[in-house]
Formats: sequence, C-alpha cells, structure tokens
Amino acid sequence: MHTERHQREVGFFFSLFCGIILEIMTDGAIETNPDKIEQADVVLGLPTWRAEINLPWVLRQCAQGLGQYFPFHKAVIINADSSGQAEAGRVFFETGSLNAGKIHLALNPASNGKGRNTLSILQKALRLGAKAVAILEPDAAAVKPVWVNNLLSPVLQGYDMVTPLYFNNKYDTPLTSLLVYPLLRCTWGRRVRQPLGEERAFSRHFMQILVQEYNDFLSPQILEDNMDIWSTMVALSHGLKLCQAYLAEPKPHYCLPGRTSEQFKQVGKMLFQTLNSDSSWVNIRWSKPTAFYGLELRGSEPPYNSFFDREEIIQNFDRCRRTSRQIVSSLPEIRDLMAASDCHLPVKIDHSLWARLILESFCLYQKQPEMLSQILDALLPLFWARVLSFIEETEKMNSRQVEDFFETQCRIFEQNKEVFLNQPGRSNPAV
Amino acid sequence: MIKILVVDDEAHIRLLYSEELKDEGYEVITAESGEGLLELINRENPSLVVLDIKMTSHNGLDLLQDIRNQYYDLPVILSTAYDSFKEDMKSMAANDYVIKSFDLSELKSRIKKNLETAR
Repeated sequence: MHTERHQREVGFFFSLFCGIILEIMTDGAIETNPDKIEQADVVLGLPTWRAEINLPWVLRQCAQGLGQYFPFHKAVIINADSSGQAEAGRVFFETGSLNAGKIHLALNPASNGKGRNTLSILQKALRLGAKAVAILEPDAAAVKPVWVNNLLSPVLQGYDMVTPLYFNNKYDTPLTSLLVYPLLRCTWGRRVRQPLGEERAFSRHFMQILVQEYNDFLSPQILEDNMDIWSTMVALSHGLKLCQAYLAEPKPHYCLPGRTSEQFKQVGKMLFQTLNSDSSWVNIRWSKPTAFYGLELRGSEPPYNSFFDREEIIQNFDRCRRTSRQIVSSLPEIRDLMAASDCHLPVKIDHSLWARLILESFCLYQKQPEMLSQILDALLPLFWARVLSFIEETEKMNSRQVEDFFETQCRIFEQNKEVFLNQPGRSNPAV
Repeated sequence: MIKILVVDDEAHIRLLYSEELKDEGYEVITAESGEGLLELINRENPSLVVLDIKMTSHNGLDLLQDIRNQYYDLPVILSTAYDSFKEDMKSMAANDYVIKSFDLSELKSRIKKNLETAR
C-alpha cells in the first residue's frame, strides 16, 4: 500500500514536470512517454536503482553513439528506475539527447537489484517492435559512443546476444576469471570471456525467450542481482549465436574482498541452480569460440595499474576459513579432496585441484540441494586461497601471459569434466 | 569423407599437410592465400580449416574474423611459426592453434579433437 502511494507520488511529479498523462503498465511500472513513442528499431536501456551520478554523462555518450552509428534507425533510450526518487527521472529527461526519443519507467523500489529493471526495458522494447536492445551500466564513467556501435551492430548483423569484452587488467574480476568463465566454458562449451559484464545486447528473438524464462524462473529474487550471468546462461542453454564486443576503454573492477565474497555466494548459487535445471550440457565435449566485434581497437596493455591488497585477501581468507571450518568438516567430499591432495590450509590451489573442487562441490549440491548455502560457505575460503595462489603464480606476468594462465585453467576444467562424468559409480551429475 | 581446407602461402607446407592428412583418411583441399577464401569455403563446405597466420598477401587473423562471422561453428585451427600471435585478441576466435612443425602429430590430434567437438 505504501509503495503504491509512493509510485503515485513519483508519477505525479513526472506528470507535473512533463505535462503529460502517465501510463501504468501491466507489470506495475509507471511509464512516462512524453513523445508518445510507439515504435523503435533500436533501444538503449539504462537500468537504475539509486542516484547514479554518471547518468547524464552516460546518456550523452549514448545519444552521441546513436547519432554517429545509427542515424537512420529510429532509436529510443529507456531508463527503468527503481530508486523511488523523482530526481532520477528529472535528470533523465533534463539531459539532452538529440538523436533518440526517451521513455522513463518508474518501478516499485522493492529491492536493490536491477534484474526487474532490465526485464521492464526488454518488455517495453518488445512492445515497441525493437530489433535490438543494448543495456548499459548507467554509472560507467568509461562508456564511449563506440560502445553503442559495438553492442548493437552484431545484433543487427544476426547475433542473438552480445557480451562485453573489457580491456581488463590481469587482476580485475577474479570471480569471473577463476570461477564463472571456466565453469560455463566447461559445461556449455562456449568461450564467453566476460559472462558477468553488465553491458550487453539482445536480439528480438532472445528478448522473447528471456521474458518468458524470467517469468518461469523458480527463484526470481536471485535474478535481481544476477540478470547478466543468468542471461548468458540462458543464451548458452538455447545454443544461440553469441558475439563478444570489445569495449575499447578500460573499466576497472578492483577486487574488493568483502564485496567479492558476497558476489561469490550469489553467483555460485545462480550457477549451480541453473546448471542443475538443464542437463543437456552433460553431452557437450570441449569448447568452441564465439564471434568477436571491434577487436581492431585493442591496445597492448590496460593503461592502469592493478590493485590487489594481498593482506586484506589473506585476512579475508582467514575469516572465511574460521567461519566455515565446521562446514568443511561436515562435507566429506570437500574434506577428502583436500586430504587426497595432501594439502593443508592455507593451501596452494593449482588448476587441477581447483577444477576438482568446483566440480565435486557441484556434485555434492546435486546430492544434497538443501545444503547449497553451506557448500558455498565451505568453498569461499578455498576461493580466496585460489586467488592468492593465482596472484603468486602470475605476479611477474603481463596481461597476455595471464590470459594464457586462464586458458590453461579452462582446458583443465574441460579435461576434468570428462574425468568427472566418467568416474565409475558417478551418477550423471545433471540428471 | 571429411574435408579439410589448408590455407598457407608456403607450397611445401601445403604439400606436407596435404599428404599427411590424406594418409589419415581426410580429403584435403588447399588455398595459397586468403583471396576468395569465403567463396571457396561456401563452394567446398569443408569440415575444418587449418589457417596460416602470417601470409604475404593476407593476415590470417583478419581472415579468421571473416570466417567466424559467416561460419559461426566452422572449426578453425591456426597454424603458426611463433606463439606471439596471442598478443592479438583476434586469435580468440580460433578453435585451436598449433606451432608449425614437420612432426604433424599435434596437428592431427587437434584436428581429431575439434572435429569431435563440432559434431
């Protein structure tokens, strides 16, 4: 009741500001569409849930990109906001964007995630008849007009989904490089290097699939914070055509242990649950590349230094280890695997041990799905041990050499999947 | 019979690869440059391409982008004298790579694995 009133208040503000009547959409979002736009060829979506300070900058970059690369397409920028603050809509409409129409969707500020915001953008884009939609992080200071081209063009050329390829430093995004990338690559068999990146683009066909599957997903709350990885997994499971778009500017993702620990559990939950819901990946052998777009813009080394506070990671490792000691002792599969490798904590975790830990943990989850949270808690200190091992091994390597390190890791994950599935007595892990 | 396309500007490499791969039971066609490569692929419909990176007339990594855009799932194995090609991210569109050698056992093993993956 309170949130409904709040929505009405926000809507009333917009109607005063824009001088128009608002439309309440079927999904509960309040739409402000001052130009009464009913059709679009391409859509740029900006999902916001707090006062994103860079929104005007991102908006101007988007508008410039649309004018520069898509002058003959009818373009619309949609901001789906769940901050509950009228300020977000005001900033959105006040910022000039000559090359595109604008639609604002005010959502119920019920959660902190942005999954619902992205879904609302896709639903609206479908109603507008859009052929391609790109979602951009509305707080990304690094966004450039060329991002608009690199994300939308592959979709207009026939790809169903475009994921970002950032110009990362070697120590950026350890969660992606050490867990998500190798696990998705060894299961679904496609090499999507940044499956977690927020910037991405969708074809009309894929939007229809996503909207349907979102409504069918058993734990919609999980999707709030994990829409990006979930959409990658849906694309992989449907065998859609994927392209990775190079986004020519660096986008630093400093590894902050506290936040990464939280993400590890969230993303781990999403990965395990989603892999468990579709068993067809079991039959996929080895991996294949995707197409790429915009790689000619590539430089040699990311132009910023990596930031990794080793002491903080060690402290985090110790903290996680203390809290999960009891859990590890109650999970014999993980405990035995550690013992069989003749390792003691803190442990050096190489490619092979890491791959087995992840695959064994997934198998354990298969047998005891109610234990998922505990399994991930037990894995967390081991993840930090893996991060520390990774830092030590790659300290003197450049970014290209570290990519070779990740490539080797992925190949070992793929080999272990074979071994893992063929173990005598091992039940099919995804059935 | 499984058809393999070998693209290399060195005649002796084309000859070596052809003879050895034919001995393995593959049908082999060759091209000495990237000229008309997409048309050749369209016409001959190979199951796999072995592609030289450094050719005098073409950059193999640029050809790789063209192949991948038109033939999303066609396996491409890069063949190169040096592994410095990895500096170029365009190489990520390849399924696999081999360092050139007169011992083709590695190439044969990679071909077999990638043909299995493509099935």
